[in-house]
Amino acid sequence: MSVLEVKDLHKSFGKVEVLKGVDLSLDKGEVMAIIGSSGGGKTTLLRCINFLEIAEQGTIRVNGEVIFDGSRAISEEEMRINRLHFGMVFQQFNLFPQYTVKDNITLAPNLLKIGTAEEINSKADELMRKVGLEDKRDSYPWQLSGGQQQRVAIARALAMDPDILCFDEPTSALDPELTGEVLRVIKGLKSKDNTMIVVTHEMGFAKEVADKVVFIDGGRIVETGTPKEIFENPKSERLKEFLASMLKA
Amino acid sequence: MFQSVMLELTNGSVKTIEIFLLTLLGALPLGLLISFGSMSKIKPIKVMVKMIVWMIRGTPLMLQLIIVYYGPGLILGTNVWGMGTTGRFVAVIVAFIINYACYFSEIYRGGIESIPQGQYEAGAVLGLTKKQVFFKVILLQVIKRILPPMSNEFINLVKDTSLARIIAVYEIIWAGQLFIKSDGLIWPLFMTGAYYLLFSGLLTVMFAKIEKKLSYFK
Repeated sequence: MSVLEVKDLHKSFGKVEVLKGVDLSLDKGEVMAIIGSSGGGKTTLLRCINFLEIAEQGTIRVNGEVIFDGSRAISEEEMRINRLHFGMVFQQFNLFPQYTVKDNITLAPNLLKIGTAEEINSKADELMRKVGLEDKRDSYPWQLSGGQQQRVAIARALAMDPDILCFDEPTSALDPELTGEVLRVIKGLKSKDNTMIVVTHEMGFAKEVADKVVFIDGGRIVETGTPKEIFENPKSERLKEFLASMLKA
Repeated sequence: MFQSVMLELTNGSVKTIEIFLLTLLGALPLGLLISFGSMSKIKPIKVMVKMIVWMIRGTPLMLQLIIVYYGPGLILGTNVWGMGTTGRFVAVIVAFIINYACYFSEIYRGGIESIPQGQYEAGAVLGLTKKQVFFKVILLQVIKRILPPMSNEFINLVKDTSLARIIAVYEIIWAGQLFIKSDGLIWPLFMTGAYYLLFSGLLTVMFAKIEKKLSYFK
């Protein structure tokens, strides 16, 4: 059974239809890379899945349970509960500036009482080790490099034990020499338990880490396949053009 | 003579401090409420609140004091404020709270709107409630940003307390001025100036301390 199943998702901003019926499915432990040019709807898709935007039509299922149905209204509290299925790592990190690294990670688990204080703290320690920042535990975000901040953001998302971890262009705001450390952390998370969706412009990363690559263009999924199929044997003209333009850049 | 002047001025300054503290006590929370109103997604509320803020900020506090004190009696036929000094004092506090709450609301609004959307979204995706996001993530960042304009308003408030005399509430300048009439002395009035300087000096130091305390994050 799929962990995540998205059917016929539509989203417009004013008169502009950004998602024109998107279908996705993702199995447990899979890593999905979403590629495509800017304005194609990649980020909007991720934001709809995380309920930062509300789609107008379509359904979202997690572990078989319908958590969103465009034909029904959804309350603020339902959205909040639904968001707990997902973790989100933003392009701009969005760490909380007034909290230390450790407090950024433990804030939500503490407020939502996910486990005892000891469990939360030891989990935070483990996550800081995992992202290689155990020595930054008491630092504030402004004292960290962009790459370090993004690794904290990843730990913060993982602290809530999401079913699916989403990354919205996690390295686009970073200097080139810092992207490697973040991509390595994401790669290191790949396991049978961690299901991930990564919106990315890093083709090398998508090729190497993803199990499934989705090419979105003009609000639709144009092509889906294994990295091999997408990168070595693209079928649609749009994808061929896109890949050619990425190579040139 | 010096002693009796200082005694009178101290009496006056007590009223000044009372007006200052009671106004803050009411206007700081009321201002937050008004700022939520002025950012409301419900159009009629937003428009109404913005109209009120415009009217209060757009007219002199002195006029508001007179209207608040005399208005109910002349329009409704009953003096809602009660008789004598207490009644006048209550009217002063009410007028000051309304006036300063409107100024504070705009400062709050500016502070709240300056926090990047990403902070709200980061809180939301972690499953926090809107209340938790506001109080645990946003508020301290807002406080840090509004300290400089707030310190301005606090100092203005210290000086504005002198307007209370317009509806015959005894305050420090009045106390000082009495000595011009009774004894032909000007220096008690200079002393009132010293009181104001001391008061605003203390506030400046206090705000500098809080700013320093919040300088651990950016």
